[in-house]
Order: sequence, then C-alpha cells, then structure tokens
Amino acid sequence: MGKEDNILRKAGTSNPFRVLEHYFDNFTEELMGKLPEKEPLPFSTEPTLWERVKPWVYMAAMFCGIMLSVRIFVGEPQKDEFTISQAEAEMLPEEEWENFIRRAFDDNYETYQFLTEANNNH
Amino acid sequence: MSKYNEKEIICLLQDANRQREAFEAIVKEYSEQLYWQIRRLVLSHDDANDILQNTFIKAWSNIEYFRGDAKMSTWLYRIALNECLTYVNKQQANNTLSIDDADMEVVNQLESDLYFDGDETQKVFLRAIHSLPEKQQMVFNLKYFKEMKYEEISEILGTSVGALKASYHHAVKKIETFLEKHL
Repeated sequence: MGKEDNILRKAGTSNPFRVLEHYFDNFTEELMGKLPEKEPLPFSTEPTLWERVKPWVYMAAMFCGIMLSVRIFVGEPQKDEFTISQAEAEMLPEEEWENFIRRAFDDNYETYQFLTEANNNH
Repeated sequence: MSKYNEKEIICLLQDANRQREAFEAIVKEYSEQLYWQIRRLVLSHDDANDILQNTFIKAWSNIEYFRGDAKMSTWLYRIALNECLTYVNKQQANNTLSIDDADMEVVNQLESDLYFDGDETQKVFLRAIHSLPEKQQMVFNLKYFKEMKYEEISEILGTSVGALKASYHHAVKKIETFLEKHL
C-alpha cells in the first residue's frame, strides 16, 4: 500500500512514550493487591427433593396424559347391559330372569330351543 | 509457572486454589502490550494506568465467563478498548471541543508530558491519528503498530473484516493527507 509506505517512511513505528522504570513489574504487584477475594463458587452436589422426584412426576403426568387422550379418542368403555352381578341375579324375579336370558341370547337359536323345551317339560 | 502457557493458565483458572496465581501470570503477560495500546489512545500515563487497572479488575470479576473459546489476548483487548471508549466518551461529554481545539489539546498534552520523548514528526503523527474517530484510531493502531490480523481485530471490535479493511484504508489516507499538510 503506497500511502502506508509513505507513513512508515515519514513517521515509522517507534514508540515515543516512556514509563517509569520497573513500572510493569510494580503494576502487577500493585494490581494483585487490589483484586477482591473471590467468593467460593456454591457447590451444590446434593440434589433437592424436587430434583429427585421430578422425573417420576413428569413420567406420571405423561401417562395420565396418554390415558386421557385415549379416553377422548376411543371413548369410555360401555357397560355391558347383559352383565349382572350375582346379587342382582338372586334378586331378579323368575319371569324377569327369563326375559333377561332371552335378550342376552337373542340370536342364539340353541338357547332359545333349550328354553322352549324346558317350558314344554314343565 | 515459568513461561506463559495459555492452555495451562486456562486450566489453572478453573481451580479455585490456583486461580489467583494464574491471573497474576495473565497480568504479567499482557499488561505491557495493553498499556501501550491504551496509552496511544488516551496519551496520558495516569489515564492509561487507570484504564489498565480497570481492565484487569473487570477481567478478574468476570473470569468465570471466560471459557477459552477466544484467545485470552482477544478477550482482554476487547475489555481494554471498551474501557478506553467509555473513558473517551466521558471526556467528550465533559468538554465539548471543536476539531481545532481538540487538536490543540493533543499538542498541549504531548508537550506537557514528561514521559513523551517523540520528535516533531511523531507529534504530528499522533495528532493525525487523534484526528480520526475513536474506533478508526483503534483499527489503525492495532493494524499499524501491532500488525494484528484483520480476523483478530474483527473478534476484538465485533466488526466485519471487510469493514475493518475499509476503515484502515480510510485511516491511512486521512493520516497521509494530514502529514502532507503539517510536515
């Protein structure tokens, strides 16, 4: 670069400034005396209770979420109208009982036949 | 620790018991080169001394944030030059001088400085450099006196290499014109 060469020729790169003798040696010593003490970094190696249970809580929340979405998309399981408990069966009067059996096995020809034969035998 | 080894120093900085010792090695290694860069910008020894001290105190306070991604010198230069900019801005806010008055101020400062040994040419050269905007002065000083690579200056000043090249080119032109006029 021509202009840079001109500057170099005219002014050079020498340092016209001075400092007191041993300034830099004393500077380090002086500065180190001025530096504040560092507070030890807080070392927390013991995890808190929340940190320990957090993964389990998250996992439980995830399963709840999945179950909820399944319920929303698939729908609640419908109660089988042809299923009754033993206590309910014992309470049922005989004529109701027969209707119930008929409804439950409506399309079952063999059951129907069995019931008809049983009636005839009576 | 006899010879400065940056990798070793950065390792020691992580050790709370030897952090101070490592930092002392950093101060010893970089104080002189940083001082001359600061002195060229602020001219006065007392101001340069204050800025250098502030630079290292800031570096010490933030040493945990130095992760060794950049070179230690780059990090320190960045702090030092920011400190210089803060100082210059404060000075400018306190006394609003015209360009001619600012030039006279440089002359007066150099003539009254017991620790300035420069001849007339060097005085004019410094006046020429001080006629540039602060950031351009920094670019010129780092490139011309320190022969720093543009890539490193770019990391220090946060300016693109292209912009730095243009800035240096303009600085050289302006200084050459100033020298032609005053010598």
